[in-house]
Amino acid sequence: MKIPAASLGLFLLLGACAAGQAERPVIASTMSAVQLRSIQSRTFDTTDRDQVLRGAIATLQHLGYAVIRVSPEAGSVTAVKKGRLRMTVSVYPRGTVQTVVRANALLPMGAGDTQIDDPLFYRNLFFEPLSQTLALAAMAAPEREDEAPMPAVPPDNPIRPAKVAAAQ
Amino acid sequence: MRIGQPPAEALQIRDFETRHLSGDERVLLAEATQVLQDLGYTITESSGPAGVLAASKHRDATEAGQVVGAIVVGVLFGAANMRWDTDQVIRVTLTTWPSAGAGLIRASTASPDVAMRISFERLIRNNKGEVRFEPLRDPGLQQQFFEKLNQSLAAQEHRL
Repeated sequence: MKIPAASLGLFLLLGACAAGQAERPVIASTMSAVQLRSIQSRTFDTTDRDQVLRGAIATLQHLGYAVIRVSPEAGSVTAVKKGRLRMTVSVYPRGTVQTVVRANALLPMGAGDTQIDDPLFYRNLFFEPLSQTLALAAMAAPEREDEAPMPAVPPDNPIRPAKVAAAQ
Repeated sequence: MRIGQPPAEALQIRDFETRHLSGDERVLLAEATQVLQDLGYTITESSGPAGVLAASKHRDATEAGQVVGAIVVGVLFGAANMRWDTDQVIRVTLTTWPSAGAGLIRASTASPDVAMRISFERLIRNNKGEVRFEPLRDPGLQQQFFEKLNQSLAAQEHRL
């Protein structure tokens, strides 16, 4: 069966979206890791990581995102809105009674994908709806930097080397 | 950051995209997978523990009326202005959630065990190679899917 070239191109484009447009360079925020973590993370008083991950997925769908990748083992989900705005959410335990949610959003601008670092974006357009979904209050991020992983971004970008260098 | 805003009437959209079903969540997800495949979709992501399915399929997007309209525009304003849709990819996000869950998902206090929500959107390309995304808000899509799912579940029950 022959696949029309136009259809193949559209599928490849969709594939690029699904793969997170990894071929595009990521333009990292100029904020410090501590500032960025504070903006992108919230803590919830629950130990049920699966429930929080499901809540994040439900929230993304409610906000109009399409889920493209999910890994319950890693506690992460990636979703795309209108083929442009890409959000990766990771969920991980903090201590014995809390769960931390970190969201990282990228938006294509010019030749690259720009990391969104607007506090209101994360607060109003993700964490508040997530808090409603979970019926739990979203609290400030953990204080210690090593408790929060860096946001998931494609390899070979300006974010990772800095963090890796700091870790090494 | 308008792109991040929730869609207008998000709660109404959630209501027509969601059904409450009885049964084991994994079984419902497996049947939903079968139904999506019956409808011609390719499964692109699947996670039982997270209650998620993602799927897509290609469709011709050419409509005679749109092409005729483009020709009229071309005659009036030049061929460079002629645009019509040529093909599209429809993308599905399906999620499940135990009905006893809290918050937005809990739309019913009735007995069913699992809430299932299915959303459709499409990526459309025109004859100029320009691409746009748009959500598909026709409740008929959900109606068709859930009818087929119910038939599939009934058939499975009959087999047992």
